[in-house]
Amino acid sequence: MLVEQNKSKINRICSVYAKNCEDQRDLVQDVLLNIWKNLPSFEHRASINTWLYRITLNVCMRSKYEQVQKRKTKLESVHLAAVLDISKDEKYEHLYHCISKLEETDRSIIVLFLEDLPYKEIAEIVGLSANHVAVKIKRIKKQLLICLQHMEREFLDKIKTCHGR
Amino acid sequence: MEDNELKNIWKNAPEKEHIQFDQHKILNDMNLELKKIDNSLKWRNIREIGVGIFLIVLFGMRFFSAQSGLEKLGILLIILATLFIIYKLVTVRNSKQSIDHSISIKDQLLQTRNYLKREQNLGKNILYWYILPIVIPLIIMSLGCYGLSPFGVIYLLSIGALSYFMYYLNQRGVKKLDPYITQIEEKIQQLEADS
Repeated sequence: MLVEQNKSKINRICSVYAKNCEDQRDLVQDVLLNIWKNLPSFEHRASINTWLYRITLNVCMRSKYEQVQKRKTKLESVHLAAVLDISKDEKYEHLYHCISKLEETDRSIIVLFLEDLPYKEIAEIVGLSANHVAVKIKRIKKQLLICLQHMEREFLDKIKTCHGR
Repeated sequence: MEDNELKNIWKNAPEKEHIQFDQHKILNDMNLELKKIDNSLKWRNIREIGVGIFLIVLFGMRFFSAQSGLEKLGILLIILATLFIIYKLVTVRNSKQSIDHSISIKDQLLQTRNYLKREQNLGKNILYWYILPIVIPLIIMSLGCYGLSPFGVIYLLSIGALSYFMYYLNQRGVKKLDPYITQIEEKIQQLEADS
């Protein structure tokens, strides 16, 4: 099933656009509904992956512009996991934090890059040329690495302080 | 940090998923939800058309009992204006539902901006497509029916006050869309930057 095969991708992408878990769940629900709604009109002009990423990113980016009166989707099949106190992987937390600090359009490009998509496919999803995407990724990666180094330094300082006590 | 290392960190995220899908229920849920959305759209259109038809019947009946030609002209114009407003409301609302999420992000941003601008223009021009087409025939009908009698004047003043209130509320709503349009335009610029 399409959703089952791609649920990790959808979750990862929604997580960088959501403010909290509830928000993430709403986004995932909206994405699933839109995949479902649009599936009959999928024309195989792009790969199913490209199509799926487009829907996911468009729904995530568009969500905050939807009118307040929009009816919130509530699917019982999509729910918060019972155990939320998961062990923290610092590297992922740092990466997640740095991605969240990026501009929204940069965020969409870098998550596609991290999902291992070729520039050509990212360009198709975003609507820019492949060269333009390459330039953008170079700049965003630089920004991301500076942020990650900063986060790592802060983390090491914190450890040193704790051990010093 | 190497690209591969970054990608590995990113792809390890599934272990930390907070959201779970129940595979058995998801298909059922989706179909139910889509049916609900379809039904609510259908009922919304029926409601709008229903109110319009009710007004047309109401004024249509009055048309045959109207005494003066001016009153008849006013009623006829009200019926035409009601038909026009129903058409306008239904077409605008239906276009809102046809948002295509499978297009590129840039096209989606442009589509969203255009949609918000369309909504904004609709609100800005409410005087021309909603208020005046109804108010002018109402004034004509009132003049034909009550003339400038004290009741007629009160009736006209009430129509004026109500129209102004509607206009004021809509203009206030229209302004609320400005920050969203600005934000989307900024995003389009961000996306096109670095070239």
